Amino acid sequence: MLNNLKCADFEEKLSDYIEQSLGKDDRTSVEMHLHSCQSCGELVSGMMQVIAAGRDFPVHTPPAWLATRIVANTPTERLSLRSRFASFWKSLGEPRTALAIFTAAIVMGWIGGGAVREAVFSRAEGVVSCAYDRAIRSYYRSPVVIEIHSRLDQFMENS
Amino acid sequence: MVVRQHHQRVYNFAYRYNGRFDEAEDLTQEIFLKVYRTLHTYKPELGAFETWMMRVSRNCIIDHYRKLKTERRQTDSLEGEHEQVAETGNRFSNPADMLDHRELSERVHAALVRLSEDLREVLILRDLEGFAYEEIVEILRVPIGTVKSRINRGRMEMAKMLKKEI
Repeated sequence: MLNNLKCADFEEKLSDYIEQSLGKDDRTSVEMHLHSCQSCGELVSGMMQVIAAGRDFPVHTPPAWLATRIVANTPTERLSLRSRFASFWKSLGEPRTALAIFTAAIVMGWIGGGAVREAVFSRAEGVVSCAYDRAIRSYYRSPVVIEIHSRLDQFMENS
Repeated sequence: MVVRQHHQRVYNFAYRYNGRFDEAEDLTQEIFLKVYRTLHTYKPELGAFETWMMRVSRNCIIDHYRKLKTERRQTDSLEGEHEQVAETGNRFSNPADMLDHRELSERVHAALVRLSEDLREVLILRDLEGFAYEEIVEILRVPIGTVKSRINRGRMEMAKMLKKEI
């Protein structure tokens, strides 16, 4: 039986033969067939060439930017709602974000034009004059000022 | 960390499968996104991370390949793509040997791309990537007998194709 191996049966055992994983009997029968069949011998050397070429296959270096692109496009972690909220507020404190918000506020104020400025300034003016009145009243009602005024009046009368 | 450690292997796997550098770049990106999305399904007790990642890669490549299959003939896939070979090893002291080796690699790759999908993937995993049979079983989720038989058939077809060329 060992000596009557046909080419089709031989081919089935070829990889195992090359990888030396055949049992002793099978190996003997394969080797006997190899001695008697030239085309199967050529097939064995062809397969060994394929395996050797695969083992020595060149390893290509990916472009340097590829890893960076992958990392940039891959989310780092899944954030909870709380973390997202916290990171939003944290981002507001970053100089770049603060500058952007400041610039946006100036531009919007400028675009808003006279009406906005007038409203802002008239309100500010009202607030300032009100504060001024209160300060003056407090000044004249303060005991020190009243005392100074009374002394000055007495001085004027005596002189 | 995972990207830096494994992207070269994934990139080469993708390139070996389809023979195009531009597609290998896009596929590598796609594969890592898929790895990220499915990372929670990886169970260390069921096998090595690399094996799991190669299974994800293989599935991704197969999906991509099937999409493209109808749009393109396989035979034009290698044209003009081999200029970018970055390294061929330092074992060749003689430039002529290196050229012969490179030529052989190109012919083997051209033959590989012409193989059917089933045979090609087992040959890439076994002969180019060097995975053990058990790992290939894990990656492809097919019986070991099927893996062995496909590898044998694939090698024979490759040998016959290369012989015809000579």
